[in-house]
Amino acid sequence: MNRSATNGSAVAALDRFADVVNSLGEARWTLPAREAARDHVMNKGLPTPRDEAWRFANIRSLDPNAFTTPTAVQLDRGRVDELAPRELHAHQLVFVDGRFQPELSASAAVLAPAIVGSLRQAWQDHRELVEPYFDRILNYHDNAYAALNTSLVEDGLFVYVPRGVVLDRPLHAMFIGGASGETMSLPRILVVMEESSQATLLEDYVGWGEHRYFTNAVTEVQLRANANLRHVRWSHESEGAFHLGSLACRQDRDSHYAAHSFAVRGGLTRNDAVAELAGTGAECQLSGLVVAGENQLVDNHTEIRHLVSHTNSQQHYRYILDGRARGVFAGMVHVAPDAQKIDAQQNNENLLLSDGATMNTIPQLEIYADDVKCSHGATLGQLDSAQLFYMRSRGIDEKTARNLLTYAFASEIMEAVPVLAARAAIASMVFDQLPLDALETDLVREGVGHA
Amino acid sequence: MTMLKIEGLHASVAGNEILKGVDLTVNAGEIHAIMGPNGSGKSTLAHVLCGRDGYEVTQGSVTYLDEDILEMSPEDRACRGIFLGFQYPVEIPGVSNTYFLKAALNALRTYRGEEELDAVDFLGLVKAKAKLLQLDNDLLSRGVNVGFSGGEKKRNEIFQMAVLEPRLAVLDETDSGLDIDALKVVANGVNKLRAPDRSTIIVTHYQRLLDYIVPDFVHVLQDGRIVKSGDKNLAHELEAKGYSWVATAGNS
Repeated sequence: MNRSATNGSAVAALDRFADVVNSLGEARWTLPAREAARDHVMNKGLPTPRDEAWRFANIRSLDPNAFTTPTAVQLDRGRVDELAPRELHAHQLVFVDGRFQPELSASAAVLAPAIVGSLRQAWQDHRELVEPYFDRILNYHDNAYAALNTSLVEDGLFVYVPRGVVLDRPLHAMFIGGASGETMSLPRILVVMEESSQATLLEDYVGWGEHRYFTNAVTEVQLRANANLRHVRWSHESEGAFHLGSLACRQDRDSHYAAHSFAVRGGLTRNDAVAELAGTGAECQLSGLVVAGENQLVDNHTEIRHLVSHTNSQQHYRYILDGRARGVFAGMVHVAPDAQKIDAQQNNENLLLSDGATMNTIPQLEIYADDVKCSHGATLGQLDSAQLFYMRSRGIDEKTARNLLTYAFASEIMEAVPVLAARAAIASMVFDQLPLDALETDLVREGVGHA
Repeated sequence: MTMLKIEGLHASVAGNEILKGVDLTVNAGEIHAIMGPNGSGKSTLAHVLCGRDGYEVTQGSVTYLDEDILEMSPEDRACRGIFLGFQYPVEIPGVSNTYFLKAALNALRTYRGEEELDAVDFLGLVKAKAKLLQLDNDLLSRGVNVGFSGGEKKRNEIFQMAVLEPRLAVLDETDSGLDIDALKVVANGVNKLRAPDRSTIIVTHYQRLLDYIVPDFVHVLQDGRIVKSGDKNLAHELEAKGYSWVATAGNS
């Protein structure tokens, strides 16, 4: 029997703690945060299926001690560029096993006065901008993997957009995993958007080879008043790879956050997203699409915290499960005492294409105010027989009709992606993942919804 | 030429026998109206002709252009030229009207051994037909029937028919719930398609549609059988006297 890491002393990765600390240099001010996070992991241990929040994620198959520390590797630029979506026209930032690769990335100088680049560099050069936010937004209390990231993280992405600055070009952060074998990488993103700034961030996780690696990522976002961030996040990891992504966003008044997440490939994927609406007029939209087959497991946990009055949130998650895939959606909407005039909607719709697929959906509302509009709904089903007959009665064969309806179910979520080239890239990944061989290829190019 | 021959057709839905021996012959170029009270089996007949799941044929035969079609899939029937205008058109979010229609038309063309239409030719065809049905171009780019009014859905059915040009159209209560202007548009669409090598079966509850589409034959379906057949005057008689009159008069 494998030894599983149920208590901190068994987390082999922490053996590196001293080495990481010794290499910090001018970033040594992060030490207290790292020590606290390390202690949390040691005391609590890593999650097991006995933890409520991890009940359905088959975390047993993930043995953190099975992975080594990434070593520096030189990746071929041509192959890296091939992994990026076509004609994205974005500002490209490449990370290999969590480490920023300046030689594979665009020069950040053109983005001034915004600061975009290595988090390690920012710990040293921009402590005053980083310190108020690093490890201050995400609460890792129920998520020791995020604490593990905090204790050992060595690099990542830092984005700082000053007051009133609008970044026209999207930022494309490509995190390449598994480049140096069966490793655990610790990507880390910190985004700070000052008042009335605006940006689009494309967070892209992609596998290099076919290793069984482990991506353990943490993203923290701070939106100051009236700031606007459009955030698209997709994971297209190697088969059998593990992907844990923990996201926390704190929003001041009138800020707007739209996050679209896509899990299309990988063995076990678990995403946690927490949005804290801390200023009136703040609005948050979370959407997600999961396409899973065979023995894949995808688990999305969301939590929206309406702390003050006049804050809105919408959540819309769709799952398409085939084979023996398993999906989990747990969505919590929390409305604080006296946070009135809240509009919160949550929707989770699931399409099961096979008898062996399983979906667990757990919508939760915690409301401590009386003048709020909160709704949640979950549906579970197969393709609609009336829609199928309608298409077939027009001459479209059954298989194509099924494929069209399945793709249409997915496309409604993809249509919310703000950057067309990113939408096309995601559509093509979804297309590859669905059993759609009878479909014409122009489907992806034109989109079913836009012939 | 005989387009459709229905002989002694019995059909059940969930174990209940709805059609109890329907006989009907439709020749090329003819328009037949099938009228009858609610629950008489009109919609069941339409669905059986088009091969919907859940309708079990227990006896009898349906021959279309000398082929037995009862074992064919809905798409095979459609490819051979049978079209069903739905009483309740289905909404399909995420698939645009245009894409849907293009997929359908190209499926039919491929079946007939014709080349698929390219985007330019297809768009030209669609625009001309949309104009005929007075359908807004905006509706074409929307999801199939999504956000359409009741009248728009019915016009969209006839629009699809105009694009697909079936040999045999079965229109299931296409007139129900339409205002008089929409009714005229729908009737005009049907009349435009009238040709010596095409036939239409109009299933309707109301005589009014037949003021605009003049049928060659009118049949009364009651309790799963055609109990009376006549010409267009029968429809007027039904309007004046009601369906109960047929039952007492018998099939004279």
